[in-house]
Amino acid sequence: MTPTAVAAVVVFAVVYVLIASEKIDRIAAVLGGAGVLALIGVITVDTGFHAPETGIDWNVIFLLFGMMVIVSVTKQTGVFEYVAILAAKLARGRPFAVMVTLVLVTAVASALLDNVTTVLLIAPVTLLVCDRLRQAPEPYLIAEALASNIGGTATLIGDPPNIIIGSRAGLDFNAFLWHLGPIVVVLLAVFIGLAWLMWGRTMVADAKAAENVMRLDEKEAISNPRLLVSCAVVLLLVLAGFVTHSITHIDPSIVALLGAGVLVAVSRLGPKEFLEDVEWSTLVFFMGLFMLVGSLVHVGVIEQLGRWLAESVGDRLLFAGTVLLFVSGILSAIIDNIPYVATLTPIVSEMTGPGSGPLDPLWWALALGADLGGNATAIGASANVVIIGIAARNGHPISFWRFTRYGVLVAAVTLVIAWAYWALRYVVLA
Amino acid sequence: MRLEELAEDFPAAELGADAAEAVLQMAAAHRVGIVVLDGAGAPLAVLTGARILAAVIPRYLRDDPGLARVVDQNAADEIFERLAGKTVADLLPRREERSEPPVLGVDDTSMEAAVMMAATGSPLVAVTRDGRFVGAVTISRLLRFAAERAEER
Repeated sequence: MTPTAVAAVVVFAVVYVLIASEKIDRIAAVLGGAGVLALIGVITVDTGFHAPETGIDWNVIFLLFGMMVIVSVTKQTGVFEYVAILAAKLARGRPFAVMVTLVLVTAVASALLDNVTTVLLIAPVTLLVCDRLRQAPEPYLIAEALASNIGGTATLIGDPPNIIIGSRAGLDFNAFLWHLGPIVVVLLAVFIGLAWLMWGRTMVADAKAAENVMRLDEKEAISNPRLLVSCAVVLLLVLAGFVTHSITHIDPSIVALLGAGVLVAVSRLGPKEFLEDVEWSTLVFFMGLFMLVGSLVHVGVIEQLGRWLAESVGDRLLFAGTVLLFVSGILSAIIDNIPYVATLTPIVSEMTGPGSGPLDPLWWALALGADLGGNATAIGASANVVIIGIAARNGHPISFWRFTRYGVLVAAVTLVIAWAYWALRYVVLA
Repeated sequence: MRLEELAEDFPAAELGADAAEAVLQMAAAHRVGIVVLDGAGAPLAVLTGARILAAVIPRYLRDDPGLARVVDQNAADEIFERLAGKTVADLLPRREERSEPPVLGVDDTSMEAAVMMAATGSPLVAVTRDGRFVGAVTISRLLRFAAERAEER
């Protein structure tokens, strides 16, 4: 390795340790690392800002930004509250049935929106419903965080790691839905079964409390019917844009930006409202991270590592996929799965090579491992951290171990089932 | 003018007093809050009506105000029934989150009260003599006094 390559690896490792140990803010860590690499000449304007392989992946940034703006506008309509209360009422106030409907709403919403946004929207309604049902909200909130991570696995836009994988591997919305959608449906069914074992069988129904839920008026949640219609139309068009990518060749980031632009125009909201849910810190973190990982690509470390791994694996797809899925699952439970996936994507890209190759299914192993592994611990996924924060603020603290006790079981079961699906579909039946 | 001349009777309660009774006392006197006293009669905090509402209204309703529209009157009644069994201390922010109470002595001036209200955002200033609470100057009392002075001049 050249001295520059060694320097890039050292800086990258230090930044990773800082992120994992949470000694300093993760944004400061990645920007500091990128700054050092810029000072020693590894990152330049061309490699850091303009080159798709070594710099900031603007497709990812703008896809996230566009979806965040769409959520900011749609949120103003009250539709999320409407759907969640309607779901609880459809369950007729029976405690476990309410949990199932809220889990399904969360999972479906997470497939279409960012997981954190989804739990932020669903948690207040859940607390209200639990209050009226006279049920402890903790099991419901934990179940929703776990469901959001499972549901988000199904689509390109459901979980940030999928957006990174999609952009780096050239996989579109349909590819994610086709390859990961079926297993996510199975995993959700299994998760509902686990939820029954973990919580449902001890829940006691209360007819009077059920009446309290039935008296909630979901229609009152809709604050702007005209905007709701506009949002519904634009969301459908955005989804159509994602699905028809192979025909239109309009990238998902452009589709999301166009959708966001139309919604901003028709809603006539001010910047404060339509930028309310844009997580600038997340976007800046992604930018710094892309430059850091890109510097490893630029100095040739990723190419060497990928080539070495590809030679070691040979054509043993089952071995490679098994290791990738479970290692990704375990590591994603401990560290943030976004930097993990950002680091792994160029390596997997080197292993799979250009175009369609025999190791292509490794992308699905990476996505399944990284997305589902986040469920294992209280800090494994952003949605878990957010839900624990909301619970504590509302006087229902959930300890790290309480969450992790349920999360480990769900992550282990879903990872094993996902591995069986992956092995069956891409190795045994391929 | 000295605060001794401006101060009015004002509802006050000790930390261990029943919260519901304290709130009724405040409402009956048409005041915007109550002054919380320690065992020796010294002001510890000003508990405003807004703070009382914040203490009983669930956090999730404050996070998502749109949900307030979907609850019926029964639910609203139950929320306010949460005052039952609570003490005045339960309605105060946690000790580390509390700011210094707006307190001045009987010899302090109306200008000092005005500055304190503007700086703390408090709608009243508790007035003490030898450290013991004797009354309060409310913002409406202070502004009325200022307006009367302006007219006289």
